Amino acid sequence: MEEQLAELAAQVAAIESKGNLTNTMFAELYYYLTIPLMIIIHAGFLAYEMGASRAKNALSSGVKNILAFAFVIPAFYFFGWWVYWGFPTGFSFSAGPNGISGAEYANSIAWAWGPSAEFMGPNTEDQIDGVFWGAFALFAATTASIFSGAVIERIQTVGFVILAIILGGFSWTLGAAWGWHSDGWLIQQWGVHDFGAAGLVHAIAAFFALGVLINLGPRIGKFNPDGTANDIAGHNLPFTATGLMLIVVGFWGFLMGCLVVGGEAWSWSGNWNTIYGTPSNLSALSFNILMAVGGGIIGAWAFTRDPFWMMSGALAGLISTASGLDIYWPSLTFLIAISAGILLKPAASILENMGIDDAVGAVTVHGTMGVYGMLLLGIFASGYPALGEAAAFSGDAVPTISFIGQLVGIVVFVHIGFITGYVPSLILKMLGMLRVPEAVEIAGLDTVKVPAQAYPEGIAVSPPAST
Amino acid sequence: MGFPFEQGTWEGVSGAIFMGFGTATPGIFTLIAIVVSVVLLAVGQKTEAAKYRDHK
Repeated sequence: MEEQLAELAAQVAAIESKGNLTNTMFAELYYYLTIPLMIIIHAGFLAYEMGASRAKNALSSGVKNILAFAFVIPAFYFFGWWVYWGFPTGFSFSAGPNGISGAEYANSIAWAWGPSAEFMGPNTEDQIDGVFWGAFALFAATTASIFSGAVIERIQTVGFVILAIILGGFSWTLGAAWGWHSDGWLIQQWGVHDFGAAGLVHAIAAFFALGVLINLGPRIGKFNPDGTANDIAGHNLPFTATGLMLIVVGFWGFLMGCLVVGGEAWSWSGNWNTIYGTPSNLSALSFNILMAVGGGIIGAWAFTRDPFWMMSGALAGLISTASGLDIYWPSLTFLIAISAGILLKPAASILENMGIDDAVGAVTVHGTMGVYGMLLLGIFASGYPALGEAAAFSGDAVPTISFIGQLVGIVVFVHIGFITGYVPSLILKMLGMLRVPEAVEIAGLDTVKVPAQAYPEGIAVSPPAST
Repeated sequence: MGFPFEQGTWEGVSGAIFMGFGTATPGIFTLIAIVVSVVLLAVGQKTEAAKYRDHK
């Protein structure tokens, strides 16, 4: 009898071990797949920007976008990952209540040299850190792509790349450390909730772009002497609209990466959670993402009938609801997204009337809608606990979501973005590294510096074949 | 709408967690969403038909 029991126990242990291994491999694969999905965001931004450029600048816009991706990834490897783990408690670099933050912790896992190097390269006993790093590196690259579209057709390549490195490696990462990391002071002290990164990715990237746009100035011909604006149409609207749809596809991967898989040593619980340790799951995302995309398109269609703004409306719908995709009721998500789609074009016009030439509406779509979404969550979700039961918190009671807390979060994110965009771009301007010369802008950037042609045969219409 | 549970933490919470759970608000929002969809479609049809009339 004892032998049978022992054999049974061994079999149960073996089954349990296999089950754990399956869960572990699922978790690793889950985050691994968010990476190629998020690269689709970049494919989308690439098409979007090139289509929104005039034909004479189409390839240079593409070169710029591709380089943003290429340089932000190593920047996030060299120092961005450290910023995320080192900064959550602010500039004290001390450890937070969950014990996974501060300079000492970041030094132990996030430098690509010294003792922490074992977590920053191939390691048979650490199968997840590289996957987490990859997903976060793609969040970083997304911020650079958001910024990239706003400054097309007149920014210098290297100056742009330097700014993209600052944004992807530091600016958004600082926002994520403060408003996403469970030890982040914005969560611990103010109950900030930004599940899908409306503020800490979209608004930071957008206000970074705004800071740069002020120093960069508008494209030649954008504004008349009396201050009125001219429309500078891109050369390929179908390409732009398709790119926007690809961005929407990629955001499924982005938002997948905002959930924490259960059942692992690093998980919050045995089930799905948000990055804050609060409950949510793929079902919540599925309901709300689809309703947000549909609502945003409908709202923009109702107001503009323009495919560019309709697809921008899809993004606006997603961004305006991103902070609460984990807890919104789908019909409410739909209504908020419709309102975002309706507000989009007027909000872009206000920015244009202020003399800002945002070539693709990035500041409005990502910034205005990010702010709008975070504030709405403060109204609708007021009172929701901002941290899950497994997360430690610094005060006596668990911090809760509030309008004031969300407002504080927004003020912080906007300032992070704007200051880290404005100051470096001002320095680049003084160094002559920000804007291309006027003659180059008039001739077209492709003609001057790209050793290839976008349309060597023009865009000819072929006659039908004879039968 | 606030947290739909009495305690101020997630401890012991399971099941539906969306805003307004347990009240009439989810149904109200759904009704509003349906009405808005129908109204926008009707307005869309009206403006589209007007454009067709202009090109007769």
